[in-house]
Parts: sequence; structure tokens; C-alpha cells
Amino acid sequence: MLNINNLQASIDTGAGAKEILKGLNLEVKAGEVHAIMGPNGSGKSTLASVLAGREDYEVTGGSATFEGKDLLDLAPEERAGEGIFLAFQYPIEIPGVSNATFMKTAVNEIRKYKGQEELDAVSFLKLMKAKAAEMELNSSLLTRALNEGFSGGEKKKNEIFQMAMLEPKLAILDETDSGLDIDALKIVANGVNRFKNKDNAVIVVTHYQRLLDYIVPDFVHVLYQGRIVKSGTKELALELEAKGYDWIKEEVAAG
Amino acid sequence: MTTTLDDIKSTFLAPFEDLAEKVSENINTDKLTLAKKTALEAIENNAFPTTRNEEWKFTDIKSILSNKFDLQSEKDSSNSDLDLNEFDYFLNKNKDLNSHILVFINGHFSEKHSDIKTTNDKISIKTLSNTETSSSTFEKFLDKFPSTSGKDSVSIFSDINTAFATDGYVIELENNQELELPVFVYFVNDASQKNTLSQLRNYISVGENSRCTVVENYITKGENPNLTNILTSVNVEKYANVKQYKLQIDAKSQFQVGSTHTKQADNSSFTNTTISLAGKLIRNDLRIISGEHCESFMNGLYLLNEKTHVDNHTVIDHIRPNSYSNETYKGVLDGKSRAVFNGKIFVRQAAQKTNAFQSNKNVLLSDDAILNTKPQLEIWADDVKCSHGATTGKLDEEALFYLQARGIPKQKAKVLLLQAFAEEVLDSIEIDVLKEFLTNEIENRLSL
Repeated sequence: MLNINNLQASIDTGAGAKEILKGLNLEVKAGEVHAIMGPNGSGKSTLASVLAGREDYEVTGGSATFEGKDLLDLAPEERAGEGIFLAFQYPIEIPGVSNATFMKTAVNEIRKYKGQEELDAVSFLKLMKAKAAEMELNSSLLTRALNEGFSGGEKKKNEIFQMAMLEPKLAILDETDSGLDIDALKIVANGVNRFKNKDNAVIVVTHYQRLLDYIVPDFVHVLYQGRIVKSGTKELALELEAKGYDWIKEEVAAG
Repeated sequence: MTTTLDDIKSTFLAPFEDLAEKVSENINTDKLTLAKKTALEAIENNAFPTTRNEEWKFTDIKSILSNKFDLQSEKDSSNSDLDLNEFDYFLNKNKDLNSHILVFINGHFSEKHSDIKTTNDKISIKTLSNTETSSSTFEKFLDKFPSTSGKDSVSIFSDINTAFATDGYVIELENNQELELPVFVYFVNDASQKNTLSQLRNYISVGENSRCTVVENYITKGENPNLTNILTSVNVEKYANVKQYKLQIDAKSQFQVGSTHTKQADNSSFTNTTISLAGKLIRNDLRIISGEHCESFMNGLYLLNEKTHVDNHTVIDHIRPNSYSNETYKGVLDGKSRAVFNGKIFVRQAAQKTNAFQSNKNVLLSDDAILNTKPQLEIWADDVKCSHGATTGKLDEEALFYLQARGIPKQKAKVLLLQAFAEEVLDSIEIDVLKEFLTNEIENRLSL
């Protein structure tokens, strides 16, 4: 589904370009859950942003294809149309645009992209209510301005609610667990597990193991200094939780 | 050859010579004649403002003054065969809207195009050129609004208006009256054949506990230089409620200098909503004097592109205690457009417990657009709540990316964000066709 080959990306810091991804390889197949872990500043969020098409980053080498299409050639909205979804680490507050209006526009734009007919108001409302209930999202949040004044937990639940509405093929969760209490964490994880099936895939970007107790990964990768330096199964996450990242850093330093 | 300021003034004023002579030779001593004579003297003695004048710092009117406006044949045009439907944005819809319609073409009332519906005899909708109203109306208002002419007038344009205004609307409601239908006034400049000048003087007077809504629409046909010099006085008596809209939507080639002077008696409410979408150079002056327990709302939205220049100057003067004013002006600037905002709040010594709020927010869509904003608060009373704020920025890139990442194309995402930006002002508009039109217009503008 997703093939990343020797991907290099940098960001313009104002004082010149700073390389963040330095030759990253990753393959994700349908039906899989991948966790990407790593210390702060290793490039985890950059990877998520580059895949979603954030313009701040410049891809300087390598390739990323999604179901055979060159992902790097597509605008962010086209990537969403192809089925990529990024759950933001810091969801944006947009005053004046109601959550419902936003969601309806997004759902129908993606349907248009896929050549499907737009949902009528009644079917949309029905779908939205059902998905919001699943996410235990207070219905008053649907009529309010997008994320405006939402608590940290509400914002993250709203991200997973959007994922459920848009039914992407590949969901990338960027530190979705940060700032969540245990109840909200369970609701979010349940949302992801409900979404998960053999035809789609999930990439969980996280610093900690705790979300992985609920969303069990098939593969765990350690990202460090812009490269994946170690891959394993869910046991690797537990090991990282117990031992921290220093031993990884030492291994890399030792070559 | 260099052109001096005096040359410019005399060029601009040359066509008025005959009219000025008539005023000077008038031996009547009624207030109107005297006011016109005073105005003539003021015109003689005062210069047109330049950018050295603080109030006109960012708006250079040389481009207006360098034109010659022919005054002779304007009277004929009021009955012209002009088809208003061909270029109007919602006059067509007006038929369903059910409103009073007044049309002025090149400064003269056009009965043919107008439709004033029957009202009870305590409500009158008339025109200034109607001789039975003109002199007495003028007199009634002169005393109440010293800032509109004579030594206290706000600019030489007001004096020119006092001396030479040809027509305008006069809406009067006695006590306890409600004008159910809004009055839609269309000021049309037909500049398809030649340079055109409209000088209009309007009056709204609303008795105690009465209410009305007036919508002024400015329209230009044709590309020749055309100027509207307009002045509206609004007298709001106790417990009365007046809503005035000023719509500068379909007037791409128009110069306009206009002012609204409002006086609010205690416990009254006044709302001015100024929407500017097109024009060559527009200067709006809004001045409100507020009594005790009054509410004053000043809402503005300007969506500018190309080389449109719009200057909004507002003054709210709180002279008595316990009043509330709220001003919200929002702008979206594209192309090489320029917007000027200057909002003054005065809270006099006696005006304790005043709540006065002002905000001016702008989005610049182009690097060539210019914005000059200046909030001004002058407060003499000590127990008041006042705030002001001005912001200018580009569209939020983070918000744009968020919407795009959800599959919404960039162009549509921009429209959503700008509609959201304008929402605060759009929300205050109580005329549905207008609100809908403006919401769509934001989209149309961006898809060009």
C-alpha cells in the first residue's frame, strides 16, 4: 500500500535548510498496524507531515508511493482523496466554520474526488450522528466552530471521529495519545480498532508505549536521526518503554 | 507646467459658477438660503484636503478633482430609459423582497423607476426635490446637525453638498410608528456617455419609539469618471431604532465621498452597516453622537481587489452615561487594493459607565495590497469599559493545510476560511437576500 524508499526531507529554518529525514525506508501493507517510535527530534512528526503533504518540508530525495501512485506529486487534498488521513498532533481551531459544515464539505469533496455522488443532507446527518455517538463525542461539539474551545481530549476524539467519517485507506496518527487521560485514550483506541480492517492500514506515531497497549501493532520501528534504525514486533515497544532510547543511540553510535 | 492646488480647486469648481451666482443673488433670508450662502463662503475660504491633512493622510483625492463634471444636462437623465435590471445584483429580487424602492439617477429622483408603497399618514417617504418638503426639511436638520455644513462642517465636500445638492430621500416617522418594509434606495450614476456627478442630501428622522430600515445602494453604469457626493443626516428620537445599510457593490468606476451624521436621543438604537466591494475611490465618514442608554452598532465589510481604494472613517461620540457601542470592521484585500480604517471613540467626562468596543481585522491576499488602520480612543470619563484592536495578516496557512488534509481543495478551503472571517459581520445582516449575496460573492471573488 505504502512504499517509502530512501526518503530525504528538509525544512527551511530561515538560516538555511535543515535535513530531517535522511534516507528513510518503510513498507506498509493493507491490514497492518505499524508503530513509529523514537526520541524527541528524531523526525517522527516530519514523516507524518511529509506523507500528508505539508508544504513547509521539502523532499530532497527518495520516493514515496501509495498504491502505486507517486505520493509526492499530489496536493494535500489529492492525497486525502486517494485515502490518506493524518490525525494531527495539534488539531487547528477554526472559528466561524462549524464542525458539521466542515465535515460535510470534506466528506463530499472526497466523494467527488473518487467519482462518487455527494451525500444528501439527511444521509450525511445520519452518518455523522452515528459516528459521533461511537466516539462518545458530545453532539453539541458538532454544531460548534471546528475545535474552537475544545479540550485537548475533545480535539483528539474529534480527529478520530473525522477518520471514521472519511474512511481512509491509510490513517497516520501523529502523537494522538499526547495529552489524553486514560478514559479518552481508551475511547480513541477503540475508535481506531473499530476502523481497522484487512483492507486498510494504520501508522501510529508515538513517543510512548501506552497507546500500543490498546492499539496493538504488527510492527514497531525506531526512528532516530532521520532513519529507521531498528524494526521489530510489539515486544520492541515494551523493551523501549523499560529501557528508554539510550541503548538505541549507543548502538547507532557504535555503527 | 505645474498645477497648483488652487488650479485644481478652480478646475473642479468651474462648472458650479452659475449655480453659485444664483445662490449669491438670492435675496431671501430663510435659513436654507443663508446656509447655502455660508457654505459658499466656506468653499471659497477652504482648500480641498491633501494627504498632509491627518484625516486624509492615506486618501489622495487628486484623482477625483482632476475631472470636470458637467452639471447642465443631468436633469434629463432622471427619466432615462436606463434598464436597471441589466446590471443590478438584487434589484430583481427586490420584487419578491417587497420593499419601498427609490431610484435616483445622476442626482435626480426618477419616479419612473421608483415604487413607493402606501403608508399611513404618520409615515412619509419623499424626496428633497419635492418642493413642499425641501426648504422646511433642510431647515429642521440644519440646526440639529452643525457638522454637516458651515464653520463646523467636516470637509469642503459637505459644504459643496450643502450649496449644490440636487435631490435626496427624506424619510420621516412620527412617534410610535413602524415602517414594516425596508426602503431600498438606488443611487445610480449613468456614466456611459459622459462624466457624471451626483450630489445628494438625505434625511432620516424617526420619532419616539418608532423604527425603520433604509438600504442605500450605489451603482454606476459606464466607465466615464463619476462622482457621488452624498450626505445623510439621521435623527433618532428616544426609544427609536434605525438600521441603515450602505452598499457599495456595483460601482467599479465610481468616486464617492459620503458621510452619515447620526444623532441618537436617550434609549435609542442605531446600526450602520457599510459593505464595500467595488469602486475607484470611496471615502465613508460615519459620525454618531450618542445619548444616555443608547446602543450604537457600526459594522463594516470590505472585499477589495484590483485598484479599489476604500477609506472608512468613523466617530462615535459618547456624551452621556450608560451607553454601549460596538464597532466591527473586517476587510479582505486582494490585487493592488488599499483600505484605510480610522475609528475614533470619544467618551466625554459625563459619559460614565460607557461600554465602547472596536475591532478592525484584515486579511491580505496579495503582497501588493495596502492597509492603513488607526484606532483612536479619547476618554475623559474614569468609569468606563473600552477596548480596541486591529489585526492584519495573511490567511492562516496552518488552517488551510488542515482543511486540505481533509480533502478540501485549496481554493475551496480559502473560501471557507474567508466566509468564516466575514461571518461576524454577515451575521449582523438581517436582510436575507443581501446576506446570501455576500456569502456567494466571497466565493465568486476568489474563483476569478
